[in-house]
Amino acid sequence: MFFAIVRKELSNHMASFRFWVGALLTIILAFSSTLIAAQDYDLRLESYQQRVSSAQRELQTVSVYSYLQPVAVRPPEPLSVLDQGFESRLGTEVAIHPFSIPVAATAGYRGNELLVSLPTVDLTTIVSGVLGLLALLLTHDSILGEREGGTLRAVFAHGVKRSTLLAGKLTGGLLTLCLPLAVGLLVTLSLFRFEAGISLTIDQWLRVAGLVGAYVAYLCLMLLLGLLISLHSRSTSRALGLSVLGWFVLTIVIPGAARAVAGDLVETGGARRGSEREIAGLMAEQDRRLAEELRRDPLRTAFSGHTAISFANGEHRAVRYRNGSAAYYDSLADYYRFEVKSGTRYASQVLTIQRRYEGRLRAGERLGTGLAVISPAFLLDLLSESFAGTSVAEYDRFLADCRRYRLTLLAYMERKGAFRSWRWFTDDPPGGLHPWPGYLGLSPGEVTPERVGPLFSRLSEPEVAARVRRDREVIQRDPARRLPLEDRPRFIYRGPEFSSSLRHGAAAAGVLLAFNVLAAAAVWARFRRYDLGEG
Amino acid sequence: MMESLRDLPVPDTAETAKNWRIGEEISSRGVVATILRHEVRQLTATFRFRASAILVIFLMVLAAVTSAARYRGEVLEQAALADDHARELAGATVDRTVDLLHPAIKTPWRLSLVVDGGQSATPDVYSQALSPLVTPRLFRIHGGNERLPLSKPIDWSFVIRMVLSLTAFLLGYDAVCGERRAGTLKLVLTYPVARWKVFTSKLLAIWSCLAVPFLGAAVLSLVIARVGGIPFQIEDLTKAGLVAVVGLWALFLSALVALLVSSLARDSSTSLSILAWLWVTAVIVVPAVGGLLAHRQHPIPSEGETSREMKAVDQRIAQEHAGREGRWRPLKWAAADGFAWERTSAEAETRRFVQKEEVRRRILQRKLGQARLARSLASLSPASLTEDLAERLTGTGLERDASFLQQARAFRPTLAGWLGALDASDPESPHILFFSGYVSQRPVAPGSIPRFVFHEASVRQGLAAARPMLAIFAGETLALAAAALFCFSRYDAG
Repeated sequence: MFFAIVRKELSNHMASFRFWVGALLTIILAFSSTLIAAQDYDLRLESYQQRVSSAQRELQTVSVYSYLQPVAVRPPEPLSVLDQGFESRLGTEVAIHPFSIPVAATAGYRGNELLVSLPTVDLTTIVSGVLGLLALLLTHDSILGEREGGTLRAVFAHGVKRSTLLAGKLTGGLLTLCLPLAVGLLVTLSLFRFEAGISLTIDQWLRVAGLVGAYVAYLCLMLLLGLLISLHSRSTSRALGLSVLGWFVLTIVIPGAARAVAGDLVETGGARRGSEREIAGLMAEQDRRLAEELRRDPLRTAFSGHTAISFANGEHRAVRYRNGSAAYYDSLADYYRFEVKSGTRYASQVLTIQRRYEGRLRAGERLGTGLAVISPAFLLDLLSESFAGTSVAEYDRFLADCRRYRLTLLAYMERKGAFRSWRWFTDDPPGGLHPWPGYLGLSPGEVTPERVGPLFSRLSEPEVAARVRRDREVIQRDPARRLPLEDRPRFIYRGPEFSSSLRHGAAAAGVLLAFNVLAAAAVWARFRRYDLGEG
Repeated sequence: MMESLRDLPVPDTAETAKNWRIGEEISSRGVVATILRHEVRQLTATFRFRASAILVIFLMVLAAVTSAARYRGEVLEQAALADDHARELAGATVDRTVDLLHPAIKTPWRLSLVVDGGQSATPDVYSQALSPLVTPRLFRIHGGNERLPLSKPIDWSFVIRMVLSLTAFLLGYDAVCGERRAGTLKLVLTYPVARWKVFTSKLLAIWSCLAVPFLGAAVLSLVIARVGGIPFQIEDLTKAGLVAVVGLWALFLSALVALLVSSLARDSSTSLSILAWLWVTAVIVVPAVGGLLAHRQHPIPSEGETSREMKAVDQRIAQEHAGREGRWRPLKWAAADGFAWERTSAEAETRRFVQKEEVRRRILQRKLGQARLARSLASLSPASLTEDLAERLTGTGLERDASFLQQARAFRPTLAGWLGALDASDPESPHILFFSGYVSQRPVAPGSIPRFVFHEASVRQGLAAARPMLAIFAGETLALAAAALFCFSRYDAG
């Protein structure tokens, strides 16, 4: 009998106008959104590959340890085609170095910033918007309609149990919804395969399965809500009105209002400005101490025959000196030991300040989640982001990996003696130094303070300048100058895994399932005592 | 609604009775007013009306509170940025000033409560230095809490586009087919009353039931936002008034759609199902597909393409100057030959800047073009058309962003003229504009620096920009009114 009811429900639903409209909209939206999502993914992948190869090229030219700043890049997530989540909003790369502990990523392909006011559509949006409404439209008159038509009494006259009827209706509705869902998913995945040429791994398939499970749980809840409305309404048109209004409030109003309250009323701008001011204060203090340390040895501050004339600096305090004397380099080694030591200490202090600001952001996030948690569409969003690997939690995991990698890299540099040796700041070999007075046939000690200016000017004489330039070109090409970095630790970021997705989405999944159980219990409690002759 | 008109009293005035006897049509004002009163009484007694009214008021109050908080936050952010810039300028020389980034700031949008038009998310600062060695930056000072999902802020436009349209459908879906099912429509039409009068009464009843809470909530939200710290000006209130008119018009259109579908459908359930899908199509599907098509048809250059274009510029400059660019010497050495090397290098860098700026400008134009196309395609839906109309009337949205970029870029020559004049008055300067180290070392008076002032579109400009959309909207309304009236006049009440 159960299967007969399921078959009847399925055929009734599939013969209805509302089903075909919902199914058609689902497929149109799935098709068009995937086309764009696949194109977007391609662009992000191209950007990722370019960044990784350029970072690789930069590392191959590193000749001093202060320039050893590998870039950790987050690869684009293929399943973002199903749920875009935070994928294109948050940064994708982090420079790893001793002077900062990663708390945020930068860069990344973010598309057209002028198009933000238009809605983005992905499979999750389609399921929560279109199929969620369809679920309510299918079940709002499921019981009531039969009662009004008198068929409910006839069904029970055949000895059908109430629980069987209810289970049959629910299963029939769910199977009906699974058809457009399956077609939408198939369209999305095959189009993605065709457009982006990506084949999914087993783990990604498992996550797709998790995602489908989340969609089914959501649709089941919407069907149960429809049944509940059907059981509590006195007429089908009233039930339908209530269903549409309920869907609108649960899917659009509550998540939107919760985001508005959490985003606009939890003030984060002041916290950010405060933390920026504090960090700026710390940096100024650090710069002052470094300046004091630099001044402690006149050899480092006054231009002399010992001073390196070739100097390059890069981001995050990267420096490279050439053509200096041993005394000058010894003095610099003392200074840079101090800089690294104080820099790592300040990095920890900055992290504490940044964590405080992050705490403020998390408070807003918690408030938004707390307010919107009664919306099934919001829960589905959270859950599908977890399975698609596009959640904020996944971004946090990437940053945690970056922090771990930084520690590994610092340990490697420590082992190599990077912070203690000249190699932090110069690639001049200790046994083959060529201080600049050498171009004039002098030793550094022979350049007295009053002769420094005139002698230095002589470096621009054509013959001397040519020699200097020739030497620079030789150094530039010299492979011996490059740091041997084959044994350096590599950044390994394994995208999201099924188990971690499950862990991240556990709370949302738990609440969604609890809502399903509650709704089922409420439906059953009402249906058990449902008066077939009511109305 | 289906139970409505069941107890419609028979017109009992002497005049009506007289007309009735002689078979003339009952005085139109009297009938329209009677049916209207009755319909309004019926509608306002329903749960859906109360729920709709509460929803409209709640969302508009929420819009006022959140937009005021956002406005205050943005004012503080921009003030902090302006303070930072003022601190950098304090005691700066001409030489230092050329390297400083001068922020052109788009003022916070006061009518964000009415129609945000993406202003809480699009870039609001264009920082540019006069030195060709410094790349200009276009960014948003603070985009809010990045750990929250991105969503459009709640504003009047959201209420008009999404809530009023849906609630109009909810109030009107059974206005005709529901009464037919209950048999009351037949009764009404047995009176010698022109059908268009019955239709008009129903239309006005749905419209007025939602117009009153909307207008009330609109006034309330403006008061809350004003108290919350948004300094509305007279022109802002005029613009808000225009948007309220658009809202009432859109509400009228939604009521027409509801009556049309109700006149076409056999029963209330079918009517509401059709209306629900129409709503989803108009509010979600069409704008989304419009955006997606714009992505496809009008792609913006990828990062790779941009970086290749920039590299091509570098190569071109290197070829044109055959390695003579990028040579800078200390002043005393350079002065010996009249800064010959430096002038060549400066010329090369200026050309590089101009060409790269052209690439950046082209990319921005592509982005604007893509956004405009998306907006045009989305406007095929009346819901998006309403939003577009509201944006144009108030002068926000894409056109405000485009105008800001245009004004910010136009600010550069003003800055250059001012600093160039300061440098020209210093005989000791090498006058290699605008390269740090080769311009005047005289201090600049912070008060003399030209300030960027963003000019908003006026009401007149807004009306001019909205004219084509108004024509389309009027056309849609007329067509719908004709169709709905036609269907109702041919409706089989039995």
